[in-house]
Amino acid sequence: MYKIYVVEDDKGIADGISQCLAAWEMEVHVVSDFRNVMGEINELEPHLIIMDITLPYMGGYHWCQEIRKNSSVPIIFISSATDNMNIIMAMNMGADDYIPKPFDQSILIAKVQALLRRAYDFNQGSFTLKAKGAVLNTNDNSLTYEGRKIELARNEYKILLVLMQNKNKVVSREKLMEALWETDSFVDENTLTVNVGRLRKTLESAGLKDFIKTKFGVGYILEDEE
Amino acid sequence: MKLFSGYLKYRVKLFVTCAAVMGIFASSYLLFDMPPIAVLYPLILTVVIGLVAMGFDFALFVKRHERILSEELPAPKNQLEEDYQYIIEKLNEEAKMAERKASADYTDMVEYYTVWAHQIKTPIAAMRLNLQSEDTESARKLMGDLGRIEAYVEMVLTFLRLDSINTDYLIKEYDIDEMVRPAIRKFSREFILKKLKLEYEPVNYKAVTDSKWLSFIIEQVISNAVKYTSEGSVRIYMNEPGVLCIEDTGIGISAEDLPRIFENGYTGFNGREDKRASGIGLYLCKRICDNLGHKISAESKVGEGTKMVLDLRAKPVEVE
Repeated sequence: MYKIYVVEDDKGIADGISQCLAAWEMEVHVVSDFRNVMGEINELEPHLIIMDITLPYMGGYHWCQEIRKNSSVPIIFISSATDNMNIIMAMNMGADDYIPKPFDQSILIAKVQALLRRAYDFNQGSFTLKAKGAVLNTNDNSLTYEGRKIELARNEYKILLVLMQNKNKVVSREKLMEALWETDSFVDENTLTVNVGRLRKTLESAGLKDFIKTKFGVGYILEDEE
Repeated sequence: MKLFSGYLKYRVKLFVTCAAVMGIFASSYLLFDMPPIAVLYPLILTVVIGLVAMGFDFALFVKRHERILSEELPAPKNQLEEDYQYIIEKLNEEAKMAERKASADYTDMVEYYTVWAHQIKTPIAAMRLNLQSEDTESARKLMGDLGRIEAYVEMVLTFLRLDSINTDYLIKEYDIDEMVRPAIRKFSREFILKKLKLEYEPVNYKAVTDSKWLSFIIEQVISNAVKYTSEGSVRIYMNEPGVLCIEDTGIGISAEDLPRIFENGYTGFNGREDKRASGIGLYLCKRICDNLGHKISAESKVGEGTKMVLDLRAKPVEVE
């Protein structure tokens, strides 16, 4: 399990980050003493650090330089400053990525996963979602079931990803459409229905019957008893 | 020539006095029956000397005139000039003070608004993150409103940067689709909530522009299209290479409002119904277009929809 260390003084944002990373089974630790960031890092030995630029006592740039003196742990800066100067500064200080506030959960997850994959995950083992014995691989947009690999189309993968991330919860059609729009697939309701139908067929031909259930008038649900 | 007539006017009293004196002398000589040569000889002599003196005086006059124009006052020659100069200097100083104060106030204000914009982005980011994990109708509506707040904050920053000397432009060739797609994504929730259809195929066009500023314009226009359309579709396309059209099936703009929508603070009929309109969005678009060398225009029919046209074609460069 990956350990993520979050250095952010706004509780709302820190909570939001914790929540969305926890869904991917990452262990999130939020800073407790802003004067002792280095001490906390040495103790925790996180796999990745998410850091705000403006912090109490010492700014993010300072801590970044301190960290870089003896560690190459991936660092992502988040900040409300969007000017090029700040982004360049952050990169020069040794950061690996920069996310301007406000940002979407999906962007944060994508960037965290990409950095972790590059830094640690050479055999592409992690970042999978499991349900009913099927495993969704986020590395190559495919599903593995009973040892067989099933290739998914782009929209099919995205729909399944959202459903598996929200296992045992009803996911509204709107939420699925929003997720598809985020990947520049500007579908309307009819297209979504068609896409879900196609996904069901793909799943059925692999032996996964009734993998996705319809909740009339609301959306879809993926139930997993485990 | 104008200068010379100005000089004549300036010295007119002196000339009239000289002429009068000469007239009196000449007439009294003639009255005493002196030969004309006795009159003419001194007359010619004084006129010649007078003209030479006048030449010198005129040269001095021109020199003073030029010095005053170069805003460096010559040493005063008499009490009146001294008084004038005193007043001018006082006014000058006051103007400079006022200017300094205004520019300091302006800098303070810009700094404050910039800080404010960054401050408010933190709570917005927190709300956005937390709302996203909720899959309900009200969360979606709140997200839509939050998106609007973000857009308004962006507008403040754009407004401040527009005339600032610190504004950075990075002009090069940009792919238009790479600006349209993120702009659409920003309003995706509203599209979905209002069940609006989006008709957009990549336009595959590269324009010479600045991506940050042009993105603002595209976002603004799409934002308006979504805001004023309750059913139907929004179409984004190029009717000829370089001319980006964003067409909606919304409420439209009346013919009398149409010529004025790019004016600062003009809200027109739509704006008066919709209290949120500030009349500043399209004004900013127009200003940015002027700075970037693009053209923006609108066609519309009430009840049928609006078509915003962005001409991104580069003007042919003239070689001199």
